Amino acid sequence: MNIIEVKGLSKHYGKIKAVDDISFTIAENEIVGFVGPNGAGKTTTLKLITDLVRPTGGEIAICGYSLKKQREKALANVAGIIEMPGLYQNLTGKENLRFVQKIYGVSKQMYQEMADLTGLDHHLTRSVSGYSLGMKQRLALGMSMMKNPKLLILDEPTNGLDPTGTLELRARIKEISKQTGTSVLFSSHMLSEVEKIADRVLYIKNGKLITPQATGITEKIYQFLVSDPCRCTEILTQAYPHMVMEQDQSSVSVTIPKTDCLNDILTTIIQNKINIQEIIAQQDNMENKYRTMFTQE
Amino acid sequence: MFSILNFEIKQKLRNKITLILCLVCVFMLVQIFVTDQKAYNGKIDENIIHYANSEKTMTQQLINQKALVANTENPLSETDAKALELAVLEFENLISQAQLAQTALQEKNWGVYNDSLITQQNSLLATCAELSQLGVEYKDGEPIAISTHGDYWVNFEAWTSNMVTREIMQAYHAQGVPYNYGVEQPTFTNTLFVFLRDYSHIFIPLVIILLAMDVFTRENKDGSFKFTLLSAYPRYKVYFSKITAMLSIAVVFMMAILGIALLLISPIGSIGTWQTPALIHTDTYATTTPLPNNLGYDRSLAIKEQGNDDLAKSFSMYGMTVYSSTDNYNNLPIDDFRYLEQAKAQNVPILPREISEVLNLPYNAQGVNLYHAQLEPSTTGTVMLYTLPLIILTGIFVSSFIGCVSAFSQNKKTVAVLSGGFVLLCVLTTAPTHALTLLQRLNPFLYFHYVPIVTGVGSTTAITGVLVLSLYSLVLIGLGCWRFSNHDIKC
Repeated sequence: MNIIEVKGLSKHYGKIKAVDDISFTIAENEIVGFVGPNGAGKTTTLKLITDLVRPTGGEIAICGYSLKKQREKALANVAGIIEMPGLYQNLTGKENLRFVQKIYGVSKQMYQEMADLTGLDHHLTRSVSGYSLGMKQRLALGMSMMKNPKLLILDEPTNGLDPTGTLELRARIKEISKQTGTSVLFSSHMLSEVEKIADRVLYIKNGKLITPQATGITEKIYQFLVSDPCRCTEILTQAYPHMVMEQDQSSVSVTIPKTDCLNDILTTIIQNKINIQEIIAQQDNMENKYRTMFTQE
Repeated sequence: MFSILNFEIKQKLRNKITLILCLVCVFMLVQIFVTDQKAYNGKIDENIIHYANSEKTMTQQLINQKALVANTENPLSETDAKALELAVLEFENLISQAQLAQTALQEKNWGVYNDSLITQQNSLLATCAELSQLGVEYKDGEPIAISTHGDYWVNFEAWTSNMVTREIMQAYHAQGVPYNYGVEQPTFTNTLFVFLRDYSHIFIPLVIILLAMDVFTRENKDGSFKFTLLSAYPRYKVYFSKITAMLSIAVVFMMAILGIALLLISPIGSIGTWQTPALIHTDTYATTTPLPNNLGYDRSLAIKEQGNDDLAKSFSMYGMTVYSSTDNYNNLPIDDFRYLEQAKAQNVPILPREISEVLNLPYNAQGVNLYHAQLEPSTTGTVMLYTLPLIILTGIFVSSFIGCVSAFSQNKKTVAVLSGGFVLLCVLTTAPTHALTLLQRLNPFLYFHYVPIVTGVGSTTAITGVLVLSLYSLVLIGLGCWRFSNHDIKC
């Protein structure tokens, strides 16, 4: 089931087309990265999905509810942190959580769970104005998760965080998605970050999606130097028909969508009694893709 | 809704600027009290002298009348003689008060000091002696009308204003209620009344603006709107809850300011009484038609009709026209003079207690109800209750203005600039006068002058204010709600 379906979404500011006719879907329990250079339209798209900005055209459906016609039902399934974590600076962390608990109408148990999720412990009794950016992000994430959303939207979540904060947040996003089954759509211009978190990626440039649908994120090219490249290609094509393979005189290059598949491929080759002389992992495919998409002009 | 209210108030309580603002407001109220007290200390003595002088003049009238009656071989009736006795007693009482005042002034050496006080006192004593020689004794406790004599005003408006005061005074005296020119002992209740009468038209909107200005824009700036707008509530509900939050913040902090001021003022000046005489216009919540306010018109007409030199002094002083309510020849108030003229012609004795009723005659002759006849002597407590709907509507109007401006601009600086303009209009709009056009009556800022409105001084009413403020508030709320619900939110 698709958690979100976006069709022909546009947002124009006068003659400027911030978002221009984009369409995509996100499935349940999927983490999707939203990649593009500054000013590409990432934040505007996320604001459109959270209804902070009204579209010029197009439709958004969240969990089957049209954002335009059934706004409240649609938004009941979405939570998000757009740009900076918007917190009530004069209130304590606890009060911020309590506020969201009240307006979202969730149980005290959920409040406690989210307070634990933030990992802020005794800092929750301090005023938010004294928090570091990382602490604010954690609190905002806890507040967003309070209503147990089906879709979590994060706009450059690791921006301004130190390495520890970045690592923590990444782990937390993955953990949330795994534990609660929440789909995550997050924007970033840090490719390594997207690569580490996302299952798929959407590329956006000048308000338009470059790839019509999200593409696999963790694809890597492995070059196998084998004894019988022809037979190896045959066997692998048969076993993995969706994988892209290239063959030369001494090797077979395979584009693998997930690193988990590497073991299976190796087992398949070995079981067919083909000798592997060497395995060469080629440069990150996402960087290549990005370079191809955004620097060719 | 309540969550938003609760959290807005909490946030304000944690905001240092808000707390400083509240302290400034408390300081202002205390300052009004201190100024009042100082003025009171000075004016209370001044009033005693003033009343003594007034009584002197009136007693002189009595003497003249006494002589007149004696000459016409028409002796005073027993009732009239008793009334004269009363006037003399009152007069003697005022003399003793004047003596006390003089001592007090000399001791304190501040407030109003009159160099010729001793001369005046001697003159009063001489008049008193003269009365005694006439064998007149007065009955104690009977009310005596008071008139102003020989006072001058620099322009017609000021003169009219003084006449209003005089009318008010007369209205009280007509019902046997002593009225002290509005100078009351400074207490908390009086300070509150003075605040409502003289300062509230700027102070209340200003405080609401300063407290509520950032209710929307802070959320825009901090980005905290995202959480509220991502809740499963329609945007209009969020908008209304914000407007309500503004209003609640204003009420809560206003109450806090008054409470703290009460704590500070009460030990010095006491809480005071809510029963202090004050006026309301009984029709102010009954009609939108301008109240019959013949005061300025009729009196100015009287001057024009009779000619400047006959009934009223009118001359140029430093390039300004100066009006007086006193005629040149007999040193009597204009209307009293008219009556006296008639009385003289009919050979009728004039008694002091009748002076207040005298004012009815010229108006009745023109088929116009006397201004003060429609005024109902009341208390400060009642006046404040009467002003309450206007105060609440002021809050709603100001909040809806801020809400509307915030919804359109979503920018703190723009809201601040427009709010500044709003406050400027509050400052520039003066209290209602007696000749307002329809367009002027539609000015919402006019209705921030709560006490003058419910007193019925100007030609507009409190119910008009309620309607005007409600109308503007509805329009502003509607506009703001439409904008907030249908446009992009910056956050």
